[in-house]
Amino acid sequence: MRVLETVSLDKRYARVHALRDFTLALDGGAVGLLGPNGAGKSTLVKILLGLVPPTSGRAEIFGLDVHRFRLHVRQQVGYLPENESYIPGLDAVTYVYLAGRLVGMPHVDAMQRTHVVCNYVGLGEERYRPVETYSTGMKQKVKFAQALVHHPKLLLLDEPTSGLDPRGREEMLALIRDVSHGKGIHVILSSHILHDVEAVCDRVVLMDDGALVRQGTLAELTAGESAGYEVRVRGDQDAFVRALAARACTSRATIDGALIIEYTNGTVGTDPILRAAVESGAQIRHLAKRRSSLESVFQSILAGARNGGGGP
Amino acid sequence: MTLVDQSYQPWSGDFQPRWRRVAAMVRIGVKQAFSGTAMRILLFLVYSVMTAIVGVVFVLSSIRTPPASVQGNSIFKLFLGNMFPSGVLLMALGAIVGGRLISRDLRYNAVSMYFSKAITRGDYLAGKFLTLAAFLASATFLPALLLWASQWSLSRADVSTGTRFLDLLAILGHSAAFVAPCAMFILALSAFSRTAFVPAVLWVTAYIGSAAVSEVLVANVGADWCALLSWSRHVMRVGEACYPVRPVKAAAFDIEIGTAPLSMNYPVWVPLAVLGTITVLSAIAVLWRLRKFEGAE
Repeated sequence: MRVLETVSLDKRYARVHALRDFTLALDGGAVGLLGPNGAGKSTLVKILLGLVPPTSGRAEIFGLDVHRFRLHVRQQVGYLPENESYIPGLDAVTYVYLAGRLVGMPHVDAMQRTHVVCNYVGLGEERYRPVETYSTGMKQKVKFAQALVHHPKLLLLDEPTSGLDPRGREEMLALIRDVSHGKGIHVILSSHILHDVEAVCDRVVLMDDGALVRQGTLAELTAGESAGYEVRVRGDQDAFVRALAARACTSRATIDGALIIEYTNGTVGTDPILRAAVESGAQIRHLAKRRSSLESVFQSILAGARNGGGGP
Repeated sequence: MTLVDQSYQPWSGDFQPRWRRVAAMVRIGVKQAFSGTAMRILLFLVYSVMTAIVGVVFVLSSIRTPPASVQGNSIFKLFLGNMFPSGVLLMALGAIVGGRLISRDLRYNAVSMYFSKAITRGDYLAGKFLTLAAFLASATFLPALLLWASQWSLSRADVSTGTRFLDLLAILGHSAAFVAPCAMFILALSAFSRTAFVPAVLWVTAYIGSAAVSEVLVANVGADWCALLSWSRHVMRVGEACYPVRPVKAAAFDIEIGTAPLSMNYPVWVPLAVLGTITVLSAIAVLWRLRKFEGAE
């Protein structure tokens, strides 16, 4: 059974066409939902939770229609909202316990699980303090705990690292990684932060302007992308660039003065770069192969899609 | 062997029915309504006054020939809102606790948590309504119940057990006439604000303002419809219908004895229809507001 399946999903608001003919099938694992702000990620998540009905099309989670069986679906799903979400005056234990009871867990189970997940996310004794006194990182952990309290089969995480400092971000990513790869819970991570998706997810779904642009594993998406080399030279850089151009190489300068060099004729290896350096008299001070990052893939796919050349 | 294992383990169990989820929400909501030092002090003051009222009314009803207003079932009518102080205290309690119930969830985005769980908007509203209703009932039905039990155990009046239980039903009906519309109306105000202060002020204004305007018009215009503007008169009229009139003896200090004038010259279905309409419209307003919030983009 598929974890998630959408068929021709469309959602129009009064002034916004939020989702356009969105068809997607996911078998599970950790999936990154990647797209710029306004791409339709939040609308998709709201439809998956049964909070808003689609204008047309259908969506299923574990074979259940998300609109008709929304309460059953929510019992299988944990959701971490993007914005702050808590009840002032309640401590983390009561808040997470309430979340468990609202899913339908019995009293004793909900209380036991509350302490298990509070331990798991690292809340420690702080769990007995009112949530409004927490730091942003701790509030994020509480949100994660309430999403996890009933051990859902699927976690929907909406910008889980939003507003976190580097340490908090790494802690959160480690938790998500452990949940998705060690606890058997499928994860859909909605984010516009490429690093987070790269760090956690096995598959990526790229969205833009309400449409699915491309999907695949990280390896699939980055395959075929021209990674090129990063070079720093001392001497006549213009002559070096001209010599590169004569060898079917394109180059562009970065802000910090390095040159990004890519071959346009399928050549591999560093030989053309070294020959160009000899010919132009430039000294190579740094030469490294660039890793084809999701960021460069994302930028080129989005650019292609907006020019009408991209697509799933 | 491990005695306590709190490492992460998958949970698999049966989910409970929806009413249990709503009940959990109510339990935590009521508990929270009583939390906080300032709130406890305030509640202590409020309940002290309520207890004093119960005490005074009970003492009056215990003398050999009590005033007609506290004889028999009139004592409950007097206590439950047909007496100005108790009405004002209930109004204040509703404002303090009810004003924040939904506005706080909107302000701190707790609705995202609620609606990602297995409850509907109707369940959420039911949970909030029952929370406030239970809290207000603790200041209406509960003291009245104590008064009823005390009267039964101590009163020398010759009243049958059946009549006693009819009194209990009347108390329940009269309490509901105050609590239900009041709770739903405050929730509606709370759903349209992100601060607790605004709905509280609006509710107090509506309650006192309607009474003030009505009294001024009754004194100056004198028409029957003027009484329809007062929230408290509607509740009083329902109360008057809840308790069947029993013959009473005149006390020495009763100025006159006879049938007391009604709070409004309309049959009881009129205030019931008005209070019912307020309740239903308020519920619709809350559900509409929550739906709008959910679908916001």
